[in-house]
Amino acid sequence: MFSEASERYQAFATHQEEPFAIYLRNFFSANGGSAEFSYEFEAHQAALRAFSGESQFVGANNAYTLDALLRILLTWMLLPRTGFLLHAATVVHDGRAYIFTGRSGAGKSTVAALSPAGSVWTDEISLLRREQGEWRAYGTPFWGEFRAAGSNSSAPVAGIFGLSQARENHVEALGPVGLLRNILSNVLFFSGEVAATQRLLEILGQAVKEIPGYNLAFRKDKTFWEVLPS
Amino acid sequence: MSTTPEGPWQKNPSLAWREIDDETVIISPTESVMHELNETGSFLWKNIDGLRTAAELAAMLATEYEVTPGTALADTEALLQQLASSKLLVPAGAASAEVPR
Repeated sequence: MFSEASERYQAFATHQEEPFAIYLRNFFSANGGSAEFSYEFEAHQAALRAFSGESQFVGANNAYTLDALLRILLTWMLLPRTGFLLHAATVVHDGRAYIFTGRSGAGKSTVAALSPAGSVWTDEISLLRREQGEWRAYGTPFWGEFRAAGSNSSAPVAGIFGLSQARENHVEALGPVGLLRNILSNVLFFSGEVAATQRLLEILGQAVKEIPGYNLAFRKDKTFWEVLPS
Repeated sequence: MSTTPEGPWQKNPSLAWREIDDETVIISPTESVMHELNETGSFLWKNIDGLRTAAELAAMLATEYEVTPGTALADTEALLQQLASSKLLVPAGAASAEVPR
């Protein structure tokens, strides 16, 4: 599994002087401090504990569980960094990131498959983060049906599009609350703590006020790009 | 302090909430359902502090939105009842309550 994981996440590893290390262990070891965040992934008998500068994963003995624990860890690490993970496909067009969100079956993988090779940064989990007053989307190593290497790149967000499939293409602008209503059930979040949830809501509240949001009904061909706002 | 149906109520401390434009959205860490309050609902929500009664909140509403005292009281009591039945409000001084799905 280690070689598989190395290949899958290699593009997202860094060589900073003070890296955030992730240790795969058989049991949790003393860290010298209490965990700032912990999560038990009961269905897979796996768990994580996160500390300042490192995280320990226990029970991550297959690629699926490792991937799930990484997603959970990221949701926590993004809170102080004004970011969040969204069940969405990220497609880059003319240098800007179009975020297509929806439940399973809404069309994320269809949109990805209809987009030019190399323009799809993920068909499953999008990472959005506010940096220097601008919302940017990052590629992630997390993929659904449309398997490909994730892109460790970022681009300014053009908009978030709530997907549904239809006979004709149609796009409808959403207000901030409408966009929040649309994305909330697709936001990945695993903390049951009020303070963390409040922080997430602050981030999402800022995102929906600053990122254009739309409902996009589309038919299964490339013509949906024609109705997207430029 | 005892709570009658008229209050005082407090916001359920297990909730997260935020104003967006003129509306208030409220979510619970244990569910992904979003509760929404319109402008007047948001005004009342902001002023629910565990001390004010329904009558006091209604008086504030009447002044802010220039509605009759009777209308303000009816609207306030209806909203408080709705919020309390959803466990978004709890009796003043109470611990948090689990929000029903």
